[in-house]
Amino acid sequence: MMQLLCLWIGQLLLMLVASYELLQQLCRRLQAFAHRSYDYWQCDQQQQNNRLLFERTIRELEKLPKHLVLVIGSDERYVNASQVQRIFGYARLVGIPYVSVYDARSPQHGYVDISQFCRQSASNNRIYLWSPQQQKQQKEQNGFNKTINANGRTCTELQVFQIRATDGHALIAQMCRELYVNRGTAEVQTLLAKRELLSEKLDERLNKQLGFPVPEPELGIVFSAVTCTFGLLPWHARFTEFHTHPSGRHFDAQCFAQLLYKYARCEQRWGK
Amino acid sequence: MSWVSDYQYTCLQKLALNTLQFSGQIPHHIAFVMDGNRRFARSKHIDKIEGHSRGFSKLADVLRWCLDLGIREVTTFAFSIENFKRSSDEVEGLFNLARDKFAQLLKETDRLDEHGIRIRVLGNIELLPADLQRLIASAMLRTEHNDKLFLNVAFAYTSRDEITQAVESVLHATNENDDDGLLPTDINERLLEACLYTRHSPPPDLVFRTSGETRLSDFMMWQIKSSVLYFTEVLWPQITIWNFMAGISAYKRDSSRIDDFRREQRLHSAQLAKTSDFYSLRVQKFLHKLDANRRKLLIALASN
Repeated sequence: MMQLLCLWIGQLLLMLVASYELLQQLCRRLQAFAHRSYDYWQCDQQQQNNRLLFERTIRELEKLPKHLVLVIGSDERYVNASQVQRIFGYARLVGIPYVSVYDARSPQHGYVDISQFCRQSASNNRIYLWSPQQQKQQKEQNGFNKTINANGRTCTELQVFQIRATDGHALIAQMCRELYVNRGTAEVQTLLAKRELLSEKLDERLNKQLGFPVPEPELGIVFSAVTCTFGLLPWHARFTEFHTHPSGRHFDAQCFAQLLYKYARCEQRWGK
Repeated sequence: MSWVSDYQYTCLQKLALNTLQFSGQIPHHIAFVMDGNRRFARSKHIDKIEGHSRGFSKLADVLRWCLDLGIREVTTFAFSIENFKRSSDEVEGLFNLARDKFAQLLKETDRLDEHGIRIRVLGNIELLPADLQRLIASAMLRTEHNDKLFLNVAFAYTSRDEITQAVESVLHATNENDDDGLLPTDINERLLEACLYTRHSPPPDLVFRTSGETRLSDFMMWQIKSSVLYFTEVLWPQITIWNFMAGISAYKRDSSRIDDFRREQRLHSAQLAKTSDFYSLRVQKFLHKLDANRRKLLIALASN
């Protein structure tokens, strides 16, 4: 009897939650639509507003992330290349020097390939450079001086990096394989004497192999209905602050600034 | 205070717990990051160690709830290698607390056997003081036959250390008899995964972190690629059964959304196992030896 009652309550609650979420999703889509239309008509004004918003944000914040990672979940349907570029634009305005993109979707389901809209760096084939000039011609006519960001510093092109699925667990396994092949050498034998040495070596080789000589990601924005890392860099993402942006909600400069506030509020204790 | 508390449910709590249990989709494995003990102590003006001690008694409640809900495996992050950087008073206090609790555990093993609880300590326990190593090793050996609830305590643990340890064990694969040595093609993510401390556990379905921090602090980074992460503002010693059930409900809501991703991951893993001859005698022998060596180490530590 008890079991039946519980089952019944459970089903009822599930149905309630499902309908609530459906309504919420509808509401988000409507809002996103309204925001997008508004942004579209206010295009010139928009750029200026964002700039002012970020100027205030930077004045108020004590710390900014140096490396931002965008995690796009396998279930995400609304994030596309233009959205990613918009975020690149915000990052550049705020003065975050490095942004990486990790997309867990397959090419059939909207995988964002940054090589489509970014220029490959001449010195390193894993690093891409992004600047708004490559985006749309019209933005060049809005009188905004592109060489200065909201921080007042002159900014160069944004350095972006695409994290592939093979850069995570598989890369560590590859490093292990390479060390195993050379296990007879004196070098590997010395590494085996002390675990810290091996750990440092792995770190060094992984960074070299990744070809992205930047600090570990400090802030991660997960675009998905579920908070999950989707296998993002197990070695490097250990202290990344993850914030989830619910699937379907409009992501604008305001959301970005809010995340930066949240990030600045957290205290990194490094175990202490 | 025991490892599993005698929590008294109210009628409403009982009803809610049963509702959760009967409506399916209960996580198999939950990982807890028990954060906020010190902040709790500060807010209540009590000693830090008292805060940690309250945190431990909360763990006993949480274990009770997990046991009653039918969760099979619980992993808790008790002490990180990074925590050695804390003041020596606090580190020593934490070790004393652990000494107390493990000594008590060894006294009440009958109760653990009754619930079928197996304790496993994950981490580089050789970094700990010798007497604590002995207690931990004895507790692990004493409960190794239980199989109803697995309690993994991550002590002197970081994910980097765990991954490095896995690489180390592969590199140590002895080549006394070269026919049996691993081949370079045998080495891939699947094999490394089988060399982690958690080699006998499925990956956690839900990671539950208290105190509002939204990072993972180097906890199970390898294993959580398809786990649902749940962050809540409440401090660990203040967690109630309702917070716990909110986490489980969040998992129920989210798990169906990443089912496809999980299936893909499982397929990928099966494919890797196939391409690398994971089930060949050579690899299985190596893994068997790994288990045997770990057990030998525990026996040596326990008899110190």
